[in-house]
Amino acid sequence: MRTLIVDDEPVARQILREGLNALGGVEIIGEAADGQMALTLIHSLEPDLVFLDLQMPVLGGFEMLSRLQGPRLPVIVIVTAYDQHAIRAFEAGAIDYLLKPVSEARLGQSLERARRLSQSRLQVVESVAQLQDAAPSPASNPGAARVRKIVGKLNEEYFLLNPNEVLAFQAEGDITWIITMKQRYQATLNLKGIEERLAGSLFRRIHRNALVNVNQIRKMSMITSQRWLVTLHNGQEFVASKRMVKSVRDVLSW
Amino acid sequence: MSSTFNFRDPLTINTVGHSVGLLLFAVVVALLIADWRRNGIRQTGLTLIAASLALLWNLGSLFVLASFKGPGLTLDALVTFSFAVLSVLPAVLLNIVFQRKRRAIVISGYVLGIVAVLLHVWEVILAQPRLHQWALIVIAAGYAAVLGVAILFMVKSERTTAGFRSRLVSLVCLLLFSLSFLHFGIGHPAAAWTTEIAWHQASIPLVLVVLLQDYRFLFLDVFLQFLVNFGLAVAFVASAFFAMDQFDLWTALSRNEFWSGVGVVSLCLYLIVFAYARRALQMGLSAALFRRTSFETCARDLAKALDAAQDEKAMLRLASAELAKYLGARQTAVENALQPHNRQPFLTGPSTRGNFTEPPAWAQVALPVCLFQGDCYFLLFGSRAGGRRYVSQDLDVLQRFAAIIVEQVERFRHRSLERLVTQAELRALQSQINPHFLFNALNTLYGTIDRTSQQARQLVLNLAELFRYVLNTDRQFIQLEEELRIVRAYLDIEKLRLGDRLEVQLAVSESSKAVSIPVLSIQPIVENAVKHGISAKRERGIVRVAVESLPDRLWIRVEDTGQGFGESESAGRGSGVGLDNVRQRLMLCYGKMADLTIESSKDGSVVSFFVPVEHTLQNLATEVPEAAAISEAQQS
Repeated sequence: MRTLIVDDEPVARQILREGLNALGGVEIIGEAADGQMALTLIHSLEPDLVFLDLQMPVLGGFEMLSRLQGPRLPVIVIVTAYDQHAIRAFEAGAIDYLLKPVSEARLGQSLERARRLSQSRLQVVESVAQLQDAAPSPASNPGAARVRKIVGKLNEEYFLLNPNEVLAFQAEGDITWIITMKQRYQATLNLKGIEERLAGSLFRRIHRNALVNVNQIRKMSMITSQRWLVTLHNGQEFVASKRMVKSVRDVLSW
Repeated sequence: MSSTFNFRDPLTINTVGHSVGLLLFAVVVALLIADWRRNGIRQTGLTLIAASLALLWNLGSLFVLASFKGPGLTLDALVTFSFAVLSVLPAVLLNIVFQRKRRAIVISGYVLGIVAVLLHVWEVILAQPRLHQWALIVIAAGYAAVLGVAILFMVKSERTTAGFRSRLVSLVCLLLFSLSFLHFGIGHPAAAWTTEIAWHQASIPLVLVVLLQDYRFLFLDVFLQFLVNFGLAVAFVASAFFAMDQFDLWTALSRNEFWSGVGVVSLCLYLIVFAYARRALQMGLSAALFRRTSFETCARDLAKALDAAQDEKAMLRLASAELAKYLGARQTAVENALQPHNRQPFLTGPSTRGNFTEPPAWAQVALPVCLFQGDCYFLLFGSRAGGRRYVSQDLDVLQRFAAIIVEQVERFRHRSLERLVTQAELRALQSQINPHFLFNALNTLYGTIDRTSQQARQLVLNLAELFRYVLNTDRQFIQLEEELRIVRAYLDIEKLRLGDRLEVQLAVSESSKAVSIPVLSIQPIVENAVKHGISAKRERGIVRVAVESLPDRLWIRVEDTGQGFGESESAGRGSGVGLDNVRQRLMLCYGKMADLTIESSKDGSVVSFFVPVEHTLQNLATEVPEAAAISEAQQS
């Protein structure tokens, strides 16, 4: 596996390097000392596996994760010295993490698990989304709800999508489409699953088969006394019932 | 009944009058004694003597009246005693008025009194009734002369001094009192009853005025209340008698049984009316005479004001100002106090000097405020506006205020203490090693140890695991298996240190591994066993941890072959703080069921306890998902 090691401490990187080399079957393609550097390397080298330290200067592990996008996401294994909050979050989501100092036995288990996970692109992307969910809310506004990413499939690639850039989710038979300004992705969840995942956000069901980002609504016009036409910023139109429109208007306090 | 009862008879009038006098002076004496006990002698001495003399005079007179018709030696002695007492009374009152000033007048007063007493005694010894007459004339004329001179002096020279007017009133009263002596000598002719009252009984109020004119009588309020009650009762009884007499109700009531019944009911109603009238009068008196504002309002204002204060000194100053406003005191101050003898408020004076370092001259009342830490303050209050006096009710109210002040200051202190403790805790936390630093340091250590030194690397891993477990204290319960993992990590560290000297045996039943037990309940006992048992000995020792599943509980035992508890303790190796902590936590979790026991001999020790399984099942319900998640994360 093509592996990237991200840690600000040289000795910590050395421990992982030596351990991985001893275990074998791993090609260490690079090392990064902070999150910013890691982002660049992930983008250019496209590794299969990243060992990521959480406490780093410039850009910490969680901050780096939240900026992680792109079609080819790696398997992430978190390495931390003592981050109780993060560990609790990982325990809840059964995310793999390593505690420093990392024994070689434990490193071996982790590597085995990463190998299994990398077999499925979807599972890799889902696990990154899960990690992003586990990140503590930024200290500046701890009360703010975190933005939960949505996994979208385009051709054979999986993408992590920020809900803000999604205009709407639309169901067509068995397929659920994720509509953004530029692209249309295939969702990995059905409409109901997406609605649950995004509960409390600005998405509202305006039709049996449509979930709309209320911030992306350009206009709403009445067709009949019971039906409204909702137009999004990309010009796409949805017919909505009066009752559904009311829930949208409640959100926007029109 | 009506034929024999005549309340206009001089003897009846005098009996009533002296009884009233007896009662009044008895109350005055009792209150003065209470005052004396509360505030020390101060100027109570003379006043108490005068009041006692007046009491004795009335008592003697009553005895004389009781046996008026029967002559004899006893009667003579009683008369002599009564008049002797009466003769000295003006002299004492004169002394009270002038205190230490105008010695000549005071002494001549006493001389007159003694002469009169001697005349009375001679009268009895020589059986000369004329001397009695002479004695009275001597007193009356003598006192009149002395008082006249005194009044003249005062009017001439003391017109401008403080207390002139009150002293003048006292002297005039005293003059009238001594003039009334002339009346006593005439005997008791059947004069008009009004004259009898005016001459004979006027002496009682006159004496009272002189007695209480200048005296800072603490119980004045109580006495006035008594007077008002008494006056009201007299008025009610007198008017009842008057009505009975005037309308001849006696015969009406005794006409038949019906009217007798009506009479009884009327009497009851009359008493009820009396009770209402009495209450109204008392409240009116309290409001008018002592000008009380509501205690509750002031107390609330005081508490609010104190709540806003920033420090203790300010609180006390604020309290004294607030109370001075309430009392109408012209001056107030806060003084440091030595331990006061009593903690009740008191009137300041020469006898209370011992309480102060330097009492200001203006202070009239001192309110001790004693805090729980043993420090005391005095809130001092000066004279009151409008010439009001401090009376016992004021002091009672002050005492209640003191309780409020103490409570507020204590609360303030408690808040400050809490703040300090929090700060101390924060400092302690800051001084502790940051766990991030600790584990990163261990990681660095691990990395710098050569990969071939497996033992050293394992030591670091075990250390990290142990530290992490101990630091992770937000979890109360843990699966037995997890605890044993830590016990193993700990024992591995110690084995590396002690080498062959430590042999470890673990015997754990498979079914017990998932039971949750209080976190860090076995490891400290094992640590104790190694520390006290094995490392203190030269030869090889065994630490054995055994967990047995009983039907309803786990039996957990930690055995060692060390030298036992007692000896190692006497060798100064500590007494197992960790063990105490475990015992306390087990007690909190399971009560007596845990039953932590220590058996110790020179061949080793066994520490054992029980963990009830039923109880832990409840904990499992909440702990299992988390615990399962850990083990999954650890294994995967």
